Amino acid sequence: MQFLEKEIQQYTHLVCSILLDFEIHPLPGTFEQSSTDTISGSVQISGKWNGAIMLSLPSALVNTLTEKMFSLEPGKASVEDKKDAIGEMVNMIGGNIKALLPDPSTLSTPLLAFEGHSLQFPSTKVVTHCHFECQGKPFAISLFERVEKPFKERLKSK
Amino acid sequence: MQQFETEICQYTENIWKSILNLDVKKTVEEYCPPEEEDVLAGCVHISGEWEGVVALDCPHELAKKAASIMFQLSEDEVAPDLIQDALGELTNMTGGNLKSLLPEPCFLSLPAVTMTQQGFRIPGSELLTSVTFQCWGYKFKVSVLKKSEES
Repeated sequence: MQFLEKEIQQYTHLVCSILLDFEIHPLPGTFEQSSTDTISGSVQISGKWNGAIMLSLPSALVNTLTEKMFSLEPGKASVEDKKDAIGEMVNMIGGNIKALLPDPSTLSTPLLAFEGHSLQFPSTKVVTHCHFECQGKPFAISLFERVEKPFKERLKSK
Repeated sequence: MQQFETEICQYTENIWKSILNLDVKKTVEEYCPPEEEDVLAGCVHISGEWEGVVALDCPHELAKKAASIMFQLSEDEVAPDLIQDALGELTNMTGGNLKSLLPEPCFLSLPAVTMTQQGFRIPGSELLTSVTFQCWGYKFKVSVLKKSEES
């Protein structure tokens, strides 16, 4: 079992069912990121525990979630709507996960990358990756934790 | 004069000089990357008494040159993760310096880096300051965004 895997699954399920009235199901394996079609959103936790939570979704699922969240007709979600929807989802999931981590720590505002390029977090490692299915489409939540190796030390080791 | 503009200029010039031995200068021309240009964007969040983001948008080519100097490798030897690492560290240093101007307590997040055309999208934040710099014929941009009051 990965770090906080059960809790991440539980919170993601809760957020999707309360916020969107969508059922989600865990999938085995790893989410395959498309170079052109994936949208990523993240929030970061800073303080006693340092890391980031990243939500990765195909753009078709982002459209579905945004239309559902804001009661929009198919094809009517603007980029602003999508930013708000994904930002809100990752913020809610991140806020719940933060509550399980040592205090004091703070949650950042959401950060989004829309152009198929994944967000990268240098000096971290993935500690948990949860793969899900929603409305017939895959998505994932990944938890990154800071690697405690000062930059100067890493510089010497290259 | 935008808020923190003097400090952004001072810190950016100092960081690029001390870490990379490169001279960077503020330019009045705004950094607007052409569509075909790959842009690498780094950002750090500041949270606590003051909430916002410090971002660094830079042409991929310039980030690669910076990484090659930082890690003392030829440009051919610089792997993508080292380019991200270098930009993340430059962003982290800029954010860390700016954090010292803000009310305590504030926490600096890990740097996040992405390849982009539009820069990061940060819902609930508004642009406070943006300064474009010139280095080696390339332009790059340092921006400070503040969390909106109503978000």
